[in-house]
Amino acid sequence: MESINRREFIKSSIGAATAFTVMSQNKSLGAANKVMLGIMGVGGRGRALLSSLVKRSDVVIKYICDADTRRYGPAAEIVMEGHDYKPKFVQDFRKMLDDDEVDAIVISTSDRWHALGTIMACQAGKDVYVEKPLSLSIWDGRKMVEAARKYNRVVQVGTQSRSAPYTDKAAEYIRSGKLGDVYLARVFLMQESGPIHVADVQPVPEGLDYDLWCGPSPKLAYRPGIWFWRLWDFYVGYIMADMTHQIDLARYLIGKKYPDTVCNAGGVYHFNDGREQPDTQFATFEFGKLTVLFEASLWSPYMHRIVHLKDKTKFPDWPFSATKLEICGTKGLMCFGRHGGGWQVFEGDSNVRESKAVVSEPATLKFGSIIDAHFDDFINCIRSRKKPKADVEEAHLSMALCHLANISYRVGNRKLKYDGKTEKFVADNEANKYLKANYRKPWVVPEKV
Amino acid sequence: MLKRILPLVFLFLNCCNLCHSQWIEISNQKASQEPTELGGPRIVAEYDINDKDISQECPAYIFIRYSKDSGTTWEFLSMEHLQGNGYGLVESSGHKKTIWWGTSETSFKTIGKTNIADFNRLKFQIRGMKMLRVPAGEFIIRSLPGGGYDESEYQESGSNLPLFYIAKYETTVAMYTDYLNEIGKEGAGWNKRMSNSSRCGIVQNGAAPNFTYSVKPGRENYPVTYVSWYDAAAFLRWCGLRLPSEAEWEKAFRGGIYLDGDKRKEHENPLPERKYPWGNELPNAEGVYRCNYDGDDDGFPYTAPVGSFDKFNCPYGACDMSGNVAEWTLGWYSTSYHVGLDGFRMVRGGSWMAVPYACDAITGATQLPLKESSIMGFRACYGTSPVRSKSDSGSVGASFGTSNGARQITAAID
Repeated sequence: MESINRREFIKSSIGAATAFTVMSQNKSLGAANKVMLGIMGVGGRGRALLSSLVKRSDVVIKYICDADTRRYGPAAEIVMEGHDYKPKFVQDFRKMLDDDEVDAIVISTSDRWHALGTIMACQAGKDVYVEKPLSLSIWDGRKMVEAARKYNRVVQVGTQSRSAPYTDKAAEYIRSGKLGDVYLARVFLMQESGPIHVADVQPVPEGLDYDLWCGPSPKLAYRPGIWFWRLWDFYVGYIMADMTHQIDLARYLIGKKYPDTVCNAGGVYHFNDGREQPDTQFATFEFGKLTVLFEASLWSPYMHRIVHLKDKTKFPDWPFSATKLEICGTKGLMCFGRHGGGWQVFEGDSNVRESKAVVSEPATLKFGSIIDAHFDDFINCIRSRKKPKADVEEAHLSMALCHLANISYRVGNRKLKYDGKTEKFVADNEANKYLKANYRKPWVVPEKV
Repeated sequence: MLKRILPLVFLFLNCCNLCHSQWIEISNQKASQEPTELGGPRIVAEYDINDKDISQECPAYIFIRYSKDSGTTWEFLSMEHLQGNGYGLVESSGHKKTIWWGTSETSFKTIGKTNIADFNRLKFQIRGMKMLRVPAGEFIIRSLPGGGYDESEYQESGSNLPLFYIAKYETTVAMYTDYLNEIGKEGAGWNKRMSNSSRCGIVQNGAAPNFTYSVKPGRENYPVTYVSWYDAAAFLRWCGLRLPSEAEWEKAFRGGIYLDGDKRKEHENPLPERKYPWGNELPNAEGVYRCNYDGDDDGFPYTAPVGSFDKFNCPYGACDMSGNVAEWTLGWYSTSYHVGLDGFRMVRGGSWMAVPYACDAITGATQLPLKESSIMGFRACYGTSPVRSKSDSGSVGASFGTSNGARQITAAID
């Protein structure tokens, strides 16, 4: 076991450079052809994605799909404003899958539909963009990868930071060995949040197919709002739903796949709203001699998320940056900021007991430009049949770390040994019970995809 | 000793336009400076208001804006020290409504110190908007303001609200154009899409810093669209008003348990849980079209002039809360991902692109505050702020636009 060095880094398969090509079984899009899309789930995130997609002249939004028909108007208006046509609306996503004209499905539902929606789309011969968090369990994620490979589909995940130009430069810097040997990576997500309010049980509103909306998750009594975000059967938690971005960046930078161990600390300390998932999580992962630390909280108003910085001379106030990474090498410390924060490397001078920035790579980005760049990659890969930067397997490996920390919490914050080859815990039946999510028939993620 | 009386005539409003644009028709506006026996000079403004609908239940909200430089720049005239029967909430129409203020005791004080020549450069605009009285009391709320997200805890919600007033109509193209002609000389408040003649209809003319704005003929009475949350909030600050909270919006939509409020309790709401303003029938039930929703079966492929469905108003008389344009509210919708950033706001009420179900009392959508959409507009609200101040709650919730109204609303609470 050893820390990562330049040679090992090059061997690691990160980024598009090492991606292999798979050819479409069903069709090959000509350069002049537009990619025909259907979008599944048009709440806030779905509409944000639509706003990016309608900037493109190489796609057609044929379908808008949502179990809640009431979401049609705000989504359709985006297409009408951007592309000047009204998309078709369907409540059941299977109608999109049955349409041979549709090349790809964009899945921006709540988390519970990500796995099964992706698998069914792959089975129907569609390429897929699926939002993060990828899955509700490690097993789900692996099945998504299997489906993508079995049906030769492009499956890109909404971990957009991989498409930020300054990310590649940071990875290259580490790869070059300039940071020295890396023994520690700290991944932060300390921020402020609030309680999740739970409304009274109410009749299901007209226009909402509640059974379809619940999908693989339990069909509990209807309430408005996001009460279901408190429950494991619906959600991986506020922390991990966002941490997947952070840990994916960390993995991109350090080039690691599976940890040997995981140990979580923390719990539901701050909020008294009945949530099952922790509001405080500090997790340690051992990758040989390289240790990765999560530091995540939902009660830290003094930490601030990075707002896209437009001034090339400015960088985040690192000590108070809610979404930074710190990659600690034997020569230097890299501070990396998500959301367009850029990165800096600090080196020390022991003679004067000072450290200063020796490299500063700003990221001057327009708001939304990373999403646009991410879709560039998706559409290009649909045409070339290459793997996208944010390929489903990379996202699965990142999401698995989030699940691992959650499982450590669920078994009493125990240190667990993990076998990456089998994607199971070593001799730990209690922990292994949590590798697979619960499903509600008929919306079951199949053993054989 | 009072040595002179300064006659002044400085009001510009075109009354004919006003009656078609959903500003209330105000005529015969004039103002003068008069001496007083003890208090120094005072300015007296007078006008006539001619609208048979004006009543205690449907008062006119009257506000004044003034210019000290012959109309180059304008300011809101604070109501805190005004006197008379013609400002704030005016509950009857009639001849010679009066507003006056002493020039040494108001926010107008600096003008009172100026000389005659400067004083002659003063200009005033009196405008009025039709409001609806929503009495204090219980109502049934079925939505979860803020969608249950973080910031909603800082909004006063619950099922009992104090007295407030809500605009009868959505803010119109003509009203917003008046606003632009005051504040938009550099281009602020306007975007290119507003010139779309089927969905908005405001044209920008000239060049910065002297832009002017005009309404495409026939579009005056349509709801303004392509306004961001900030545009809406700025327009309402310009009037001395604010957006409604989600709870206020829902109460205005459904009505309270008692439509005359919890103090009187004489007029029970027959359908306090109604889904739509008119009851529980779908907007297109039995071939009757009750609001402007998706498609043109209702007669309108895009927006409709405000008040086009006035047989199907809300219990207090508000028009078009169902359909036409979805309306910005004060409601914040902030996930843990977005705390610290300027988060989503809630819009309510469905639109001309909504399915009929979405034009109900509870359906809301999250929108980024910068969003400028052809399906979104807003209406005004008048009342004590529903948002707790930062010092009360430690929140970051915004609070604005209510100080002028606070005195009157307190006096009117029943």
